[in-house]
Parts: sequence; C-alpha cells; structure tokens
Amino acid sequence: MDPYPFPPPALDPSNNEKYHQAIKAHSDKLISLANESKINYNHALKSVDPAKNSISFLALLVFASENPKDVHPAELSDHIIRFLVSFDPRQVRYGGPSFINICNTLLTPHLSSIAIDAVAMALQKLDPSGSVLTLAHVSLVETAVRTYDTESISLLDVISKKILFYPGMLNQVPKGTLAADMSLPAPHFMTSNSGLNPNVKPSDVIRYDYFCGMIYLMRRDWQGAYDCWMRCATHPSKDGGVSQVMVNAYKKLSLMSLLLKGRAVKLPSGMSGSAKRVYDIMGKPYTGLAALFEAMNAKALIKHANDCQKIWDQDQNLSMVTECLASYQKWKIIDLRDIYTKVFLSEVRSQTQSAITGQELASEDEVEELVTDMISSGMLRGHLGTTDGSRTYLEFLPENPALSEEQYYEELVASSQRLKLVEPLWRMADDRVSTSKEHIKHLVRMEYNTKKRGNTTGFSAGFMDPGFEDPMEDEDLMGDSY
Amino acid sequence: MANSTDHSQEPIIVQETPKLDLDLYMQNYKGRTRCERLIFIGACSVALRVEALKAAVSEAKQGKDVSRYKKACALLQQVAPSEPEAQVDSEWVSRVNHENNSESKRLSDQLSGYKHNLIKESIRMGLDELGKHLEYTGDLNGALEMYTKMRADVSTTKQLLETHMLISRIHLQNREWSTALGTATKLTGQVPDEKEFAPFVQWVRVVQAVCTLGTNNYEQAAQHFLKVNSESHNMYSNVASPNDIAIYGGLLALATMDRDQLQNRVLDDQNFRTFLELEPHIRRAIGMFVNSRFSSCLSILEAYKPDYLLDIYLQPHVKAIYSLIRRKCIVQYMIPFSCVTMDRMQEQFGHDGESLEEELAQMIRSGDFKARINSVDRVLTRERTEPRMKMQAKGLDAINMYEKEALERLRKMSIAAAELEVRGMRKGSVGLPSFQNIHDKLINPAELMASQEQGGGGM
Repeated sequence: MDPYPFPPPALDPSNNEKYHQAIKAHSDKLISLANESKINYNHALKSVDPAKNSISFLALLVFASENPKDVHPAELSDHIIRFLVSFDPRQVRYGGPSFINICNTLLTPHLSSIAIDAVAMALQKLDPSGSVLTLAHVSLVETAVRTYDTESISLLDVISKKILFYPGMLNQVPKGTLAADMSLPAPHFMTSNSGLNPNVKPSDVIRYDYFCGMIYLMRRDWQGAYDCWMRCATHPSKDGGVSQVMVNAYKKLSLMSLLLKGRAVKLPSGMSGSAKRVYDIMGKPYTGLAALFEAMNAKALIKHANDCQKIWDQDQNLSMVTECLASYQKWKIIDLRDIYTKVFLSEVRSQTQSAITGQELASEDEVEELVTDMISSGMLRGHLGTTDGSRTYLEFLPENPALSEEQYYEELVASSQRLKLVEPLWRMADDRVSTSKEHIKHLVRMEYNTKKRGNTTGFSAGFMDPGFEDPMEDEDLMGDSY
Repeated sequence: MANSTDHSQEPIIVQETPKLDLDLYMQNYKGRTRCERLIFIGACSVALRVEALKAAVSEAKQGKDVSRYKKACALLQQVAPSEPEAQVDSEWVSRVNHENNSESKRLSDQLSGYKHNLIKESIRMGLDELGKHLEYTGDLNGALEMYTKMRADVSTTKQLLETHMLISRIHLQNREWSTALGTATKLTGQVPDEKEFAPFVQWVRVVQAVCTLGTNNYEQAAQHFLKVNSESHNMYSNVASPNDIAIYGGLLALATMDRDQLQNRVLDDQNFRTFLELEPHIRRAIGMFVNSRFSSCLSILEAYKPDYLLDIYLQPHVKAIYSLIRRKCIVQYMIPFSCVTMDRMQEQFGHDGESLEEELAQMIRSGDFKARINSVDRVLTRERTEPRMKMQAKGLDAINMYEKEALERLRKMSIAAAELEVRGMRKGSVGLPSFQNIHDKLINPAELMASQEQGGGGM
C-alpha cells in the first residue's frame, strides 16, 4: 500500500545522519500523500505493519482519526492499541505531535483499562528513563483516577519514574543533535520543537503530581502519595502564585502525613511564603485535626472530625479522615516504643484510646488483635510474648536493626550505584545551563562586579549584591526540599 | 494585668502542721505584707488558721485598711466564730473610715494648694503623702495614680528612684508581675552609683527576683535571688525576709542548676551562705543533692513542704518546683546505671499513692529523661545508644537524602528553565493571569487574608 516504504531496504540503520534525512523526507512525502490521494484508511491500516513501518502507520492513524467516516471508532481504537504496543520508537521520534494526540484519543473512559495499559507501555517504550513529562502522562493519570483504573502494572511503572525534565526548557537540545541517535537522553529528543512533546503548562505539572498521588492513595501506597502531594504542594511559585490544586494537595498531604508518620506535616523551609500563608488559612481544619491527632485526646479528635464533616466532604477527604481516625490508636501504640521496651497489653489498653469510639478497647483480646495486625502488616516492629503468669506483653524491637558488615557494604554499593546514575543527569543540566546566553551574561556581570569591588576589602569584596534590575526569586529553589 | 490569674487562683489548703513559729516568722516582716501574709496563712493552714487570723485582725487594727480588717474578721468568723476578734468592731470601722476620709480630703486640699502655687517639690511631696495615705487605706489604684503623677515632678535621682520604687510596690501588691518587673528593671538602669544606693539596689533585686518567680521563669529568678546581698535586709523586709531569700533562692537553684553550679554558686558562695545559715535544711538539701543522696534531699524538702505552701509568693510554684527537683534527682540518679529495677526506683523516689511508673513515662514522653521502661521485668534501662547501628543508619540516611535532594533540585531547576512556576498576578496587571484554566485556578493570598480578617478568621 505504502508507495514510499520506510525504512527503505537500502538504508543503513547505524548511520544516524542518513536515517535522519531519509525519515524526514519520508514524513514530507506522507503529508503530500494525505493531501493528494484518496486512500482507503481501513484497508491501509490493515496492510501496514506498525512494528516495521511505524511512522507510516502513525500518519495513517492520524489521517483516519481526522476522517471518522472511513474507519469505525472501535476499529480505530484497535489499530491505535496495536500500534502502541508494537511501534518502533526510533521512527516515532519523528512523529511530531501525532504520537501524543493518538494517545490522548485512546484515553477515553469506556476503554480505560486497555487504553491505560497501552499508553503506559508506549510511554515507557518511547522514553525508558521516564524522566520527561508529556501531556500524555497527564491524560494517562487523570483517566486512571477518573475511571478508578489504577491497577495496571505499566501505569505504576510510569508514575514511579522520577520526572526530572519538562518540555520547553531553555537550551534543551544541543546543536547538531539527531533524534535518530538512540543513545540520546530523553530530554534531547522529547522536545517541543520536534512536536513530539508539546509544551506543558504549570497546571499540567501540578495536576500530574496530584493525580499520581491519588493513584497511590487508591493503591494504599501512603509513601508514594505523600511524596507526590509534597511535590505538588511545594511546587515553585513566582509573584505569590498559589493554585487551587496545590491547596487541595496540601490538604490531602496533611492527612497523609498522619496516616504515614502519625505526625503533622512539616513543609520545607525553602518553599514559597505565600503558599504557606494560604495553606495556613485554607488548611486550618486540617492543621487542627493534626494537632489533636498528635495529642493524647481521642474524644477531642472525634469531636473536631465530626464538627468539620462538611468540610471533609466538600474536599472529598472524608474517607481519608476516617482512615486517619482508624489509625490513631495504632500510632499511639507505636509512640509507646519511645517509653517502653516491654509493656503488658493491659497497660497498652489503658494508655491508648480508639478514635472511633473515644474509649479504650473493650478487652485485652481486642488489643492483642490490633497489635498482631500491626506487627504482621509491618507497621510495628515487635513481638508478643506471655509471662509465666499468662499475661501477654508486647516487646518493641529496634526500628532499624543492625546490619552485618556484608549487608552494610552491599547497601553502600547499591547506594553509590544509584548516585552514579544521577551524575549524567546533573552533567546534562550543567551543560544546558552553562551554555545558555543568560548564564554567560550572568557570569560576565558577576565577574565585572567582583572586579569593581576588588579594591574594597573584607566581606564586601566577595559579596554579590544583586543588581537593581536583577530578578529576585520568590523562594529559595535550592533550599531543603523535604 | 500580667499573671492576674495567680491572684485569682484558689489557695491550697494545707492540712499538715507546719514547722514555722508564727511570731518568729512575722518578726522578719514590715509594712502591709505582714497583714497580707497572716491572712494568707489563716486562709490556707488548718493548723494555724485561728492563731494567724487573730494576729491578722490585731495587725489590721493597727493600720488604716478597713477592708483588710473586715476580710480578716470574716475569715475568722468562718473558722472560729466564738473568738471575740471574729466580731467586727463597728465603732473602730466607722472611726477609721471617718479619719481616712478626712485625711484624704485634707491631703487633696493640700495638694490642690501646692498645685496652685506651682512649686514642683511641694506638689511631689503632696502626691507622695496622698499616695501613701491611699496605699495604707487599701486604695491601691488611687495610690498608683498619685505615684505615677509624681514622676513629672521629681528633681533628683533619689526622688526618681523612690518614685519608681513606690510604683513597683503597688504593682507587686496587685500581683502584676511583668509590670512590676519592668518598673524595677527601669530602676536598676537609673542607679548612678551602686554603693551609694545599695539599699535601693537590694530592694530592686528582691522585687525583680520575686516578680520573675511570679512569671514562672525559675532559672532567671534563681539568678536574681543569688545576687541579693545579705546586708541591708531591712530595706526589703516589706517584701521578703532573708529566710525567704534562702528558701526561694535555694529551691530555685536546686530546680534549675546542675551539680557544679550548685556547689560553686550556692554552697560555696560567701554571700548566699549567710542566707543559707538562716535555713540550714535548705543547705542540707542542696548538699545532699550535690552528694548524690537524692532520696534524703527529697525527704528534707518534703518535710518542709507545708511551710513553703504557706508562703504567699511560693505557694503557686511549689508543685512545679518540687516536680523539677524530683525529675532532676531521678535523672541524676540514673546516670551511673545502665539498668535499675523499678522496685529500687520506687524505694528511692516512690510517693504514697502515686504511680512512679506513670511519672517516669511522662518524663520520658516529654524528653526530660532518656530511658525506657520494661514493665514486664520491672526494670528501667537507659536509652541504648548502639553507636554502630546509629552510624549505619546515619550513613545510609545521608546517602538517601543526598540522592533525593539532588534529584529534587534537578527537577526544580528544570521547572525554572521551562518557566513552569505558578505565577501570581503582579500588582497593576489587568485580566486573568496566564495560569487560569478550566482545571485549576489561582488563589490570591492577599484577598484570602483580607476576607479572613473580615470574617474573623473562621474557616
């Protein structure tokens, strides 16, 4: 069917330059093909192999989606899924915005579980490092949350990757970079200029983290949800900017901190002051709940939770608050490890209260059941024992057991391997920043200022006071993050 | 009215018989504090109430404060209605009331005359006389007003110091600790020569110390008491006696100082030793603490607790000070041991009817005591440090934090490079900011705070 097959048989795939020129020429021809001839897309999609002729297949998918009369939507979805699970990532790097568009086309509620799997796998295939955010990421997580389809392993693989780069970064691609080069790091080919990754907006970045948090919440992965909402609530801001989704994330973060750590959330010191002020005001009921959670007064906690029920409901946090109340007594038992090495269950019973009933547990058996559950779930390190007089007690074990020399060595080696992986990322960021015009201008200005103040002595000689026109940051981006 | 709550607190009723001899005790005081202390003892001590209130009635009758007399009579009426002193002497009341009014009128007229003549020194003297008269009749607010007005007419340093002293005396009687402390501190700054004004300086130190105690700042109060000079005690006998200085200073030092400081700054201090000689049991208690005989130290203090609970300034703080001393004793006791049985702890520090384990748990919870209770084997163990485990955890934590920080910084740099920060509205900009979209909206912190202020801060 394809009169201009790609890749042509004579093309040497190891030559990036030639590959680049050939696929560029092929893309131009595909556009003219769409404009000039009448194609039966249904037939064409069946006859082209998406794994071998990915770029052509992608073009056909786009043309077909623009002409819905030719291909039935269900069939089109099948073709998209077939493409997403089998495409050649090298060709798709030249696919422009089409790839993201067809991902978004597929992510509709009625196809959610297959679509989520397919898009998640496709995103991983295109960028195995998973370090660049695309609009398809945002649609993927939003669809997953809205359709409650959060069980996909591929989806979890996507959201567990750390997003470190965003399209539209200044000086993102070094000169002479060819997308055909398979050794390129993701930020160098997933760019807005190539059309593969259209620019995202600040709200997309915030929403991505927010929805990732929701996915972790649905999977009951408290640590994952905590990290995502922390990123969301501490998103950098300028001119006092704070968004509603950030506030929502902060509210959920406050509750998640209670579930995960049994303590009120502590925001990093370097974050935006306006955001902190807004959270203080809008998150008052949550701060109050956290303060009561930390105290030893279950009845007051229950009263506050009941008084603010409407607020929890409006914020869609009622089930999280209920979960917090259920975990209250568990955290109070964990707190006992700071006081006791061994304690009778009767004392555990008398010293802790349930935040569901506001009372002590009815019997020692109930305490035993609760503690057993905590130990088996890994929440508490300890074990139950019985004395000669048949009294049951709880013995707390150290939180971090001592490692043997071999184990410690292995941990250190693993950590250093992980740090080595970070190094090229830093180098890439360093190259990007150090070759930018603005950075060079800044360096020249700094040098000029140093020379100008060179004659002065002491502290002022090395002190770089920002120029009148220098932009002042709203917050310390390099301050402690967590 | 700083710390006015103390004043309104219900006095603690002391059932035990104190060791103090009321007559000897009262000999150390002068001025209005005598009657005040007698009424306080009468209200608090079951054993001494009749004797103290009878003495208070007699003391009040020697003065001009009718309301204080009536108060003493009323209290005595409650506890011993058959005592002749319990009946209010109406004739005395009406006579003194009449005399007080006449004297007030005379002094007011005299002051008006002085004011008419515009002689500053006469005006000051007139205000001084009227102020003192009002103070002795129990009108403390009126007296304060006069003393405050005096400040405008002082002409010498001595007069200025005296005026501030009078003002702080009124604040002290009103239990306005912070205000009294502020006035007394001002007074210290105005003393040109400490030697020349030594009695003033001593009075100020005592007032500062008592007021600092009133504000619950025990550490600072201890420092002030230790600085009081044993000479010129007559000057501050209208506030506290030298015995009080020994008790207050000794107890507060015991509660707030470590063993070296107690040895060097309290026991070996020549000046404070003079005070301690008046209260040898305080000296013994401190000595016991320094020599690690903690249970003996606590026993001595426990024996004198009823006496301290009858002190007008000390009573509200006895519980807190004793608790601090007790906690310090427990912590110090535990230092040489890695593990102590609870029975041994109970023997050393047990209270009748109070659970030591609960107290220890509270101490551990508040972070004052680094230990763990094994309530099954009934032992108390010091917190194990396990340096190897600590080092391992610290090392791995550092690496994890480094990795996390490095990635987070990289991410934030990328956000800045792609200009993806949330931008608020700059001042003067018109229309919706670029951020606004269907999925999210900007919150304006200024508007939010303004609406909070209008709405009274409720959410």
